[in-house]
Amino acid sequence: MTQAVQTYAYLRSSALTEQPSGRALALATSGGCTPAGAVANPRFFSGFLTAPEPAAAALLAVADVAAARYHQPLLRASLDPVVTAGGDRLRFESFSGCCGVHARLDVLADGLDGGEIGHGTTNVDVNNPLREALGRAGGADPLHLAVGPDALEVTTFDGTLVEKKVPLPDRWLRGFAETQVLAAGFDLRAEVPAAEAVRFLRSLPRGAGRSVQWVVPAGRTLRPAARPVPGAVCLPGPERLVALQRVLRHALALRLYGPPAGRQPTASAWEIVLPGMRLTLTLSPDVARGFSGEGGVLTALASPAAAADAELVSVLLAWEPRIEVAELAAQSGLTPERVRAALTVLGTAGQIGYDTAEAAHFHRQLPYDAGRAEAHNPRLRAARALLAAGAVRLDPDGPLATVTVDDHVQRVRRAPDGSLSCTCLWWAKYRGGRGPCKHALAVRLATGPEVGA
Amino acid sequence: MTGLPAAVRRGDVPATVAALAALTAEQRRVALPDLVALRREQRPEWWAVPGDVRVALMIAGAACHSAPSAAAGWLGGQDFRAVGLWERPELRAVLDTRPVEWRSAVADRLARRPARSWGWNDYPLLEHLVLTTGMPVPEADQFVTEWMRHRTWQLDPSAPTRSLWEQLVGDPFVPVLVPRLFEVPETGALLATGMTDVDNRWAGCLVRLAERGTVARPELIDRCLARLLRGGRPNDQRGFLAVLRALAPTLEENARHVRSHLALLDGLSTVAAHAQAVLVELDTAGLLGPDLLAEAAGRVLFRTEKKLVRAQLGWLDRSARREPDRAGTVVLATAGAFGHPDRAVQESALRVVARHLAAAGPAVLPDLRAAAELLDPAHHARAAELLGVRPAAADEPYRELLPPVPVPRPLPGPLATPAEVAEELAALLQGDPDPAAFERTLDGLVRHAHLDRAALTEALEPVLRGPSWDARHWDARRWADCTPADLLYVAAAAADRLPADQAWSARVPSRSPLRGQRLTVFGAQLAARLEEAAWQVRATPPPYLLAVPTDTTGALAAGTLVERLAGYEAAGRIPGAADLGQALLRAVLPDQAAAEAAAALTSPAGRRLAAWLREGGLPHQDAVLPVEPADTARRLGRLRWWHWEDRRALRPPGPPPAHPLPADAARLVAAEPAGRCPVEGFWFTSAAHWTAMLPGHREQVAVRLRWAFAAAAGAGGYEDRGAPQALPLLAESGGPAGPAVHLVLGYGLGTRFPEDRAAAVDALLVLAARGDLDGALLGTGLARLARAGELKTNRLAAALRSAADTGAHGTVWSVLAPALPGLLDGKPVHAAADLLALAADCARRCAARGPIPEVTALAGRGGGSRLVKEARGLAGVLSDGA
Repeated sequence: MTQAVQTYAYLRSSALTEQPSGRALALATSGGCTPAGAVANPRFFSGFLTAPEPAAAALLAVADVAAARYHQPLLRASLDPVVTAGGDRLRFESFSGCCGVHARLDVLADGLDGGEIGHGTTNVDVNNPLREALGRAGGADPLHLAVGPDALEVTTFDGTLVEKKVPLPDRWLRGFAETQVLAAGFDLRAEVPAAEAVRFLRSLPRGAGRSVQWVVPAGRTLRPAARPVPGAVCLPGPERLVALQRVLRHALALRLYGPPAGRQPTASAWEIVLPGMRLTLTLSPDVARGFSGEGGVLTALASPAAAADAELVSVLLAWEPRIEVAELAAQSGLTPERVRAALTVLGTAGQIGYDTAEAAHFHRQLPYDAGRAEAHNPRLRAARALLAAGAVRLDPDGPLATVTVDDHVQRVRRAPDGSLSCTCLWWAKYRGGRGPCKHALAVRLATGPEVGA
Repeated sequence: MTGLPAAVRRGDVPATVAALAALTAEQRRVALPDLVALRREQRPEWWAVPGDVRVALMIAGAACHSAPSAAAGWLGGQDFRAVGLWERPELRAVLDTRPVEWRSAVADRLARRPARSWGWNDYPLLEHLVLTTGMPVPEADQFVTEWMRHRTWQLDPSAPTRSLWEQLVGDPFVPVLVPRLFEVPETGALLATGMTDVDNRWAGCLVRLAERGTVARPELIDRCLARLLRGGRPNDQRGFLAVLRALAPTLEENARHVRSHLALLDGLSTVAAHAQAVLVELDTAGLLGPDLLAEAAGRVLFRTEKKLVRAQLGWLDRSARREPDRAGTVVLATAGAFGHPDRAVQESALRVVARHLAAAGPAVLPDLRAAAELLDPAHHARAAELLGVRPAAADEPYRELLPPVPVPRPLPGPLATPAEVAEELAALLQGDPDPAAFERTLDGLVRHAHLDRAALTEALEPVLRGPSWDARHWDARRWADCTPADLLYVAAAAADRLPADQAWSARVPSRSPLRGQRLTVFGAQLAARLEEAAWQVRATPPPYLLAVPTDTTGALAAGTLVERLAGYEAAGRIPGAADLGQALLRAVLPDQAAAEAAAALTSPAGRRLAAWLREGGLPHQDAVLPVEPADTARRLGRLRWWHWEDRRALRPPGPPPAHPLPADAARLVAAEPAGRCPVEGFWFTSAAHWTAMLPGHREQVAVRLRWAFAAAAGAGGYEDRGAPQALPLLAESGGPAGPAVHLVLGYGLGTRFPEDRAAAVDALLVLAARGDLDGALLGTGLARLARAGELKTNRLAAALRSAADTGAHGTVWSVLAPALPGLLDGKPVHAAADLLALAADCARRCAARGPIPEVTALAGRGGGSRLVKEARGLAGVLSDGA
């Protein structure tokens, strides 16, 4: 196992202070990417939060997810949240230590008052005194928010950084990046008003039962179902929505996003609408299954053309809060399909997020070395090894390919629609629901881009 | 210097210590590689190494490492963490001979280890090192926890027994570590444990330390509140709450922390209750502004705990009485409880509003009216009276919300290639529960064995490599039912992995490897088909199977069946008996066109099919419910599993007329199940296949599964999980829903596990949406089950409540109305008040009228119990719609 370490270097700790001029929340930043290149401690915003109490609660919810492990909770892991400034909004993102829950708080233009919003992505410091102060931040008094140090702070800096070192597992990084790819397949399935949202979220089991529920919209209410009926949204591990309890009092509505209901549990996204903000939790298909193993990106990664396209497309991105595929296609001269495949590749490199509410990608660059993690994807590596060992034999005129593994063979079949299936255990268990197996991937690599995704 | 390794190997600790004392720094360095090698040699089986050898090795290595980091690494190894090794006085003595800087560096390293690296009793050595070197007290998380743990439990056996207070009072660590204990995770549990006397409680000791000035009292209060604000597990929070209570902050101290207490109102319920009490005190002293009172009310009234909410309403009421100019704030804050899930809380809130509305003036009315939209319909009249306007929600016409009627999906076409058969087989062997996948794969095996068995054998090779039929067979004989994964048997036969004579002889049921001792009737039918198919693929595979359904419920269009059989006749094939039997049970009837087409069939099987279609197949008959529970059970007053047969004497329908079904298929629809038919919870993964065997006769399936459902409802004294998951399948299946379907649905509504109840609610709603629900049948059945003690009515109330919450108030009322007389007659059942409240909600919303005598009688009783109150509420709705 490769285990990298993430080092944060903040000029000072984030803090919420009471000053004579009012309350001020100063979030310290570390290691940012901006249009001007890498910046050690970038500044993205200085202005007021229009709904201070809900904003404080929602920030705490994001911090909760960052500090949580919903599976095997004894192994602690905590990486700081990531903030992206997209010109008209701020997005705070975090990813749980178990790689199964992604949280994003979008503070929209309505939620912010005054101050220019910059462009870029960085980490923000969250510490215990800040959590306590955010918990106390009730009342309607205005709350000033600053993301990053101002010029004065940088020039008067005394040289002692606040440093944090946290292990950065490949698996975590892959999962964080791949959540976006999975979320791009979601659609809005239901929206219920605040009262029903509260009733429903309170009725969920709190204990870790490893259970999977389905939820069916029924009029203005949500009904739990025991199986995936048409229109149902999967709720895998309902106890993982606990972070939403913090903001429940301020909720205006609850929106559910998911892929079309299949027979197997799927990932889903749960969005609480807050005044001027949206808080979205994306859950992996099982408490014990992180996003990293979902394999939704492997097909795109196995195609060399997509990598080249991705490079071309990445140049055109500039922290847009909404990426228009058609526009990018026109600018790059690629077809919309190729742009989408390129975006998937960029997603695995942590350069793209997906906003289910807008049904659009947005540009951000995770302040980690995300591409490295994807190169080490175990399945992709195994597929490359199979190919290198000459294990793949393509049937010249049929849809079948034979992959020899050790002393036995697996057969990979190409369906008329281009999808690949296999006789191996992985395929038998998930039927392609967790991406292609290494055999199918090896065949995809062997057949080359002309029949690729 | 040669003495050292020898002494270590002998396990001679005194000699090791003596040898070490004689060594120079250079000699120690030279001795080290030997020790490292010895440790490496012993490490794989360190637990087998005699204790003293380990002790000697540990001491020698620690002393010979000149770098503190290396020495700490040496000592911290897993092989030296066994209980008691670090407690050896020789280790301390040897370490004490090293320089102070070295010792403090080693101690610092050891103190910083993460929690999982600490042994049970590492702390005393570290404490010794810290105290003797005079180094700064380590502040690492686990050091703090271990310090607390050792102070609490006095784990050092060498130390004299002293109370916690006696230990802390002279402890130089206190000023450093006490502030830290508020920051380290999971220390709260330790704060709350220990002896009960004040000398041994952390809370009491911390207060006394503050009195002595060892730690600052304001800092303690600050940190305690901060810790509570940060949240955590209940057990952790309780400890800090105990400390805060013991500190008993004064009014002035609390006044400095108003915001913290407000925030704590969102915390754990005990913490919130404490914060609420503090704020009430502040308010009484006039130290809480009206806006803060409103904020506190907003936080508390949002909570579900009735105790906190009632206390809050009382506080608001008192506050407004004391200061009438606050009435406006109070009234608006109280309206925050209008949306509370508890109806009685809403009523209390309305009372408080009514009391202070005059003082508040008309300015608050618009906001109050908006809040009143959230009120339960029961309070709409009162709200209208008070606020002058009826909530708009009261005038919305009622609309029953039911799920869409499920439409069966057609089955995809047959599997086109052997490769697809292999993939599907692999998925089934991995537990794919889909009946459609099973049917297509069985058909695919037969089909491709007919076309090209060699190609099929080759395609199956990767799948059959792993699972062995023999191992599976062994399991099946011992305890399992025949399941869809036994398709492996057919595949093994097709791929020549089964001796032909075995496939032949298995057609005799007593010799079949698929029939274990605990075969269900469903398993037997499955086994019959698999045995037949295994022999067919081996001998003369037919071109396809007849019984493959045409849609996902398992139904088979009669016209398709006639076409398939015509194909057999054209090819001169005779269908397998089990296959034809299953096909007949699946045929959708009546079908006039198919019956006419079938008249042209000439083979014996064709004529049988024609006759079956002409006569309309199996006649439907309802199961017969017993009138009274059996005498034995009534006498005993308690149910045991051996009385089940008596109690659930639900007779399957009478025998079908002269029928062409083979034995196993006939048993599926026979009047009496032959012998005992255990269908247990853990086999319910196959339930989808069972309903697909009888897609037009769900009553028959329900009769045969009644034991499992009764067990799931706790009727047998224990509660099985999972059986009710089959209920939605029954609801979606075909054929009339009679007493048996309604009986098992009733059991499902009373099961223990929420996901099982959700399945039952699902089934209830689907039945209602399809128009198959007989409310009176289910309602009276529920009352009888409850009276017989076979159904827990509190669970029934929860299940029906969740059904009503989705908008199916009319459906729930149609079940409750006929159930209430039985539930209330004589001594009302447990949770009758909940059921009455639910009934009143439903009746009010769907505008049901017409008094129920039992309800009226109960409402006429005196007293103010909740039961009588709810009965009055319902009687009121039914008589005048109030």
